[in-house]
Parts: sequence; structure tokens; C-alpha cells
Amino acid sequence: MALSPRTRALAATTLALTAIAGCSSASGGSGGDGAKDGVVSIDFYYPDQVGTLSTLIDGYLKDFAKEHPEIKVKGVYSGDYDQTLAAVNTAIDARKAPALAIMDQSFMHDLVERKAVTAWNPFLTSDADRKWKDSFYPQFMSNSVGADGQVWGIPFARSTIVQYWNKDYFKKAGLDPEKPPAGWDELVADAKAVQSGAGAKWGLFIPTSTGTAYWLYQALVQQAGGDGAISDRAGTKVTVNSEQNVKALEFWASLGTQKIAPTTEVAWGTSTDDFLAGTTGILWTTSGRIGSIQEKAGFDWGVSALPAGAGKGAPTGGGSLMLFDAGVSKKQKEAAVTLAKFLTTPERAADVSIKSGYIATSEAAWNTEAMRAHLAKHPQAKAPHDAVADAIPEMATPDRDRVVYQTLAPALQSVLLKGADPRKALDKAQSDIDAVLKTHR
Amino acid sequence: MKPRTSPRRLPDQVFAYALLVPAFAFLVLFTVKPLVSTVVSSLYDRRDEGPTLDNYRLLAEDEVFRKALVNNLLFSVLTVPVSLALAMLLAVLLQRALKGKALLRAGVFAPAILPVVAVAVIWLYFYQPNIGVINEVLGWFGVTGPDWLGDTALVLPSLMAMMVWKEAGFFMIFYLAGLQAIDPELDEASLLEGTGRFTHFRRVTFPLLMPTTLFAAIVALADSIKMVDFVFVMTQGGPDNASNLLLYYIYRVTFAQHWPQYGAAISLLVIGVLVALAVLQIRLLDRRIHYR
Repeated sequence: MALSPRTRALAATTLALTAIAGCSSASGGSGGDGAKDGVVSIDFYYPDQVGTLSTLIDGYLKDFAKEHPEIKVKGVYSGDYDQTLAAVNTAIDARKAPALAIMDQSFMHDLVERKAVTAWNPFLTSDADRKWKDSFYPQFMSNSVGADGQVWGIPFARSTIVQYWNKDYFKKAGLDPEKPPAGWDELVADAKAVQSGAGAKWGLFIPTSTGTAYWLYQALVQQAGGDGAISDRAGTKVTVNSEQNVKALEFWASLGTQKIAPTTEVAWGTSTDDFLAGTTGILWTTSGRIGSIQEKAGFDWGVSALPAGAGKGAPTGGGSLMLFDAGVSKKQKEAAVTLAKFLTTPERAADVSIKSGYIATSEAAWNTEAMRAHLAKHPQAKAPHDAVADAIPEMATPDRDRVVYQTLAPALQSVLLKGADPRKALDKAQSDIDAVLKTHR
Repeated sequence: MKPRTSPRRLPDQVFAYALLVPAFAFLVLFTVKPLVSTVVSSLYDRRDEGPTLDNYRLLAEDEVFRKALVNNLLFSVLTVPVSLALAMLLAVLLQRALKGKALLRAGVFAPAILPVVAVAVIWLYFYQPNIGVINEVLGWFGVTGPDWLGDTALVLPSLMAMMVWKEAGFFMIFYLAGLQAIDPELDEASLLEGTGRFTHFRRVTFPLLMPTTLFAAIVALADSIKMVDFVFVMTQGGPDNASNLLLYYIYRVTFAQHWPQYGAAISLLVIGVLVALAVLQIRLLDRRIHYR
């Protein structure tokens, strides 16, 4: 057939375009139940907040591949917790969710509300399964179980807030270096002593960054005798303007007015560097920093549970292994459960704890040989274990980003950094939070 | 030779449109379709029920959005003119025969080729209150530097300074190109007439650079709204939302809060503002531009 050059060019272009379209649809559909030749393939997203976790998990996944040739795991490093949530959300919208992912435990309510996650209960049928579920510290499980008793998460890489103090400064200031402040009065007195007696620029750092202010505030509320959990079990009732709430914030703000702490933002990320550089004598931050302080401190230091007041205890934080639903078959979910069990054995929980500073998630992990040897060498590592005994749940609500980061954190910061009235700020936060949560009840 | 006649020939009109089809396809796929679906999505509520104007009603009373809008307007209104003025100044200075000219030009241009994230990480450490370079230098003169990123009053100006540093070098390149296009005879004429350097700049160079300025101003304005990577790295919009910018807020609403419908409503408003500003710029500046 004789075609003009024009028509031929056109035909060629059309062909090329069809080919391009064909390619994209061919690579797009993996589909099915992920099973092929008896091998089940699953995706596993894991974040890394501290910089050491991803290497550890890579190693575990290699071991898993040897032990379970019938399951093919594609491990995807997904940034920090917030980036992981964004990545998982996108995957859910495309109906290609990972079978398993480590998520920030406090995202639970949002994910459950959107029916994005699957409960673990149907997969934990044997006695051994239930024993595995019950082996984790109940303090860590409190953020993983819904109001109706459904289990949505398995603790992995958990932490809590602890108190670090510079023993050299304490000695220089004439304080007992082995005795950390145990109450608010002592805390203020010691902080002042460290400044005047040892020449520290600041006495006490309690980070006020947007991402973590609520977390430290929870501990202060608990110490003031209030309900440090702030949110109820279902996450839809939040109290931030009680007497104790106000008292806690007034105390926090008083650190700035007494010149013990700066009235500018105490940045979460760099506060550990400031402690290491001797800028502050006392620091409240995550137990996850023990490792890096251990490694870098050029002075004698101690770590303990937070001081107590009318109440005692700090919130937990960290990750949960969660099962996802969008586009994940039953077979893949079962494979994900197998992987989760593999990742949370006492030996591996101890290994994660020793190498990253996270708190081992079960009593069995604390009793492993590796852990005992580690504790003999580094007695400081015991402090977070002691702190877990009194730990309280982390504040968790649906629409968490709006409630916690967009409403509560700025309210706290307006008081701490700009001198706003605590009661007024908290009353306003309360009504704003109620307005957000109203749509979720 | 006999003129070649094709057995089947497409009419010119049809052929022209046929050639445009791939371009149209891409335009529809990547511009028109997203725009239309953004409009549609913005009319649905969070559970995808609608259509409703709830998102726009919410927009009117959303304090964080208002704060981000004001922050972003301040950011744009200040960084765009300052970057351009500095770029023009640098270009005029570096155009002269100067020792080490190439090195200086490269130095000024260097920030422009760095990714925004890298710039943000560098400046994050410049700005650290206790271990940062800036306060270290201030310390030599006995000045205790403030906490640049931790102070609600200083955080936005600090980010603006960084943006100017990054953008000025980039626009300098455009001005250097613009200066090459100016006839050197004009320079000689001024020299012969004894016109002062400043008058020459004001009456000759500046007006002739206006087309470059218009182009650069529109690019800079778009940049000041779309380049927000540094907010992620440096401040996450804090403290107290003092450094929250529009696009960062859209990201948070759409992805972190998983509320794409509301994110779409905010996006449309931002696009509207951007288009209005660009039209205004072109209208205002066009009258004062001397095209040759």
C-alpha cells in the first residue's frame, strides 16, 4: 500500500505513543495475591528516626530471607515517621499498601478511622500467638489497643522521656553528682546551682519544638497531678485546660522567666548537641539518645527517670508494626505476621535496644544474655527500663496533625516563647481541639 | 522531472492538528486534567461527599492558613525586590574588567546551583544559637547573638536572608546576559558626553534591563511561593507557625493530615493569587519597558 510520507510519519507517532502507553500499563499491574510458585511477596516500609535502625533492619531482613525462603520481603526505607505516613498514604490511595510497616504508634486512630489498617486479632489464634502478643510491656501496648480491645500495633523501637544530667557540673556546683533532681523544687534549685556554681549557660533544657512539645508537656502535666495521657482511649476526648494542665504550663514557662532556660525555641534536634557541648546542665529528651551521648560525651553524665511531683511517669513514644489492608491478600498478611514475629523475638528486641538506644519491648528481652552483658558494661542503659514502670500512653487522637501539631504545639509555644497567658492559650486550644474532634465522634 | 504526487494526501489543516496531538495530549494529561480534578476535588468534603462549599467556608476561618498567607506575602514582597536589586548590582559590578572576575562570578553563582535542601542544611548550622557560625562570629565582637530560628520574630527574616543569598546569584546570570545585549556604543557616548556613572546607569542601563527584570521578577515571585523545601529541613513551619508558608501548609493538609480535598481548595486559591500577581506585574512593568 502506498502511503504519503506525512501519513507514514503520523502512523509511526501513533504507534510509538501506543507502545509507551502499553509499557506503563504492563509495569503497573503487579496485582494478584502476591503469590508465585509458592513464594509470597510482601512490601515492608520502615522508617529510621535515629540513623542506626535502617542498617539493623537490613540485616534482619537478610536473616529472614535465609530462614523463610517461602516469603520474599521487599524492605523499603521510608524516611522518618512523618514521611513514612505520607508514603503509606500514597500507597493506600493506589491500593498497593505495604503488608507491614513500622508506623508512629500515635497515628493509630487516624489509620483505624480510615480503615487503612487490619487488626492483629484474627491472626493470633493459637496459644503461642497470644503469648507472643502478651509478652510486650502493657505500657507499650496501651497505645496499640483500641477502645474495643482490638490490637492494631505491635511495639517496635519504643522510647520514653528521661533526664540526663552533667555530673561534672554537679560536682563543680557542690551538688551530689549521683543524685539527680527528683522534684520540681530540686530541679529548679539544681539548674540554678549549675548556672551560678559551674558556669553553665543554661540550667535545664525541655525541648519546645513543634514536633515534640506536646510530648514533654504530657510529662509535666502528669507531674502536676493531672492526666498526662491528655487524650482518652478512643482519642476523641482531649483535656488541655484543667487546673493541672495550666499549672504544668505555668511551671514550664517559669523556667524562661527565671532564666534557667531560653525563651526562644529549645530545638529538639540540637538540644542533645547543646547538652554535649555543656551549654545546659540538665536535659529532658528521649531515651533513644543514650547511645549518642554515650559515644560523644566528654564529661561524666547520668541518666534517670524524670522527677516526680503530685504524679509520676512519662509518656512512651516510638513505633508499632501495623498490618495494612489496601490491596493486600490474606496470604500476604499472614506472611507479614510471620515477619513481625521474627523481628520482635527477645534476642532481636535486645539487639535493637543495645545498638540504637530504643527500649527493649519485653521483659524477656531485658533478660537475654546480650542485654545483661550490655547492662554490666553500661549501667546507664537501665534508666529507661526503670522509667517504663510508670510510663503513660502517648497523646493520640484522630486528625492528630491538626490537633497536636497545628493546635496544641503553637498554643504551648505562644506561652513559652511569646509570654501569652497560659490559661487563655489552653482554653483556646481546648475549644479549637474540640471543634476538630467533633467531626470524628 | 515529473512532480511527485502522493496517492493519498491529508489536507494541511488536518495534518497540522495531527502534529499537535501529542503536545495537546501532554497538556491535557499533565495540566488540564489535574486542574479540573483539583477544582472538582475541592468541592467535596473529607469523606468525599458533596458537592459542597465547606472547604472554602473553612478557609475563611482557618487561622493557620491566614498566618501562612500573611507569612508568604511578606516573604514574597520582601525577597523578590531585594534579590533582584542585589542581582542587578552584582551583575553591573562583575561586568567590568576586574581581576579575578571569573572566580567572583562563580562564587556568587554557586548558591544557585546548590539544591535548596543542601542550602537549608548549611544555613541550619549557620543559624544555630550556641554552635552556629553566625553567633560564633558575633561572639568575637562581644555580641551575644540571638536564636535566629527559635525566635518567633526572627525566624521569617532569617529564612528571607537565606533565600536572597540563594536567589541573587541566579538572577545575576540573567542580568549579565542582559548587559551583554546593551550596545557598547551607548557606553562610549556617555563617556564622551561626560555623563556620570550613576546617571548612565539610571538613564541607560536600568531601562534597557527592564525586559530582564520583568522576566526575573515573575520567576522570582513563583520561586518565593513554590520553593519551600527549606521549611521542611529548618523549621517545620514553627515556632508557633511563624515560618509556615502556603505550600508547606498545603503539603501538611494534603499528606500529613490526609485531607486532599481541603488541600485542593487552598491550592486553587494560591494559583489564583499567583496568576493575579503575575498579571499585575506584567501590566505595571510593561508600560515602563523599552523593547528594542
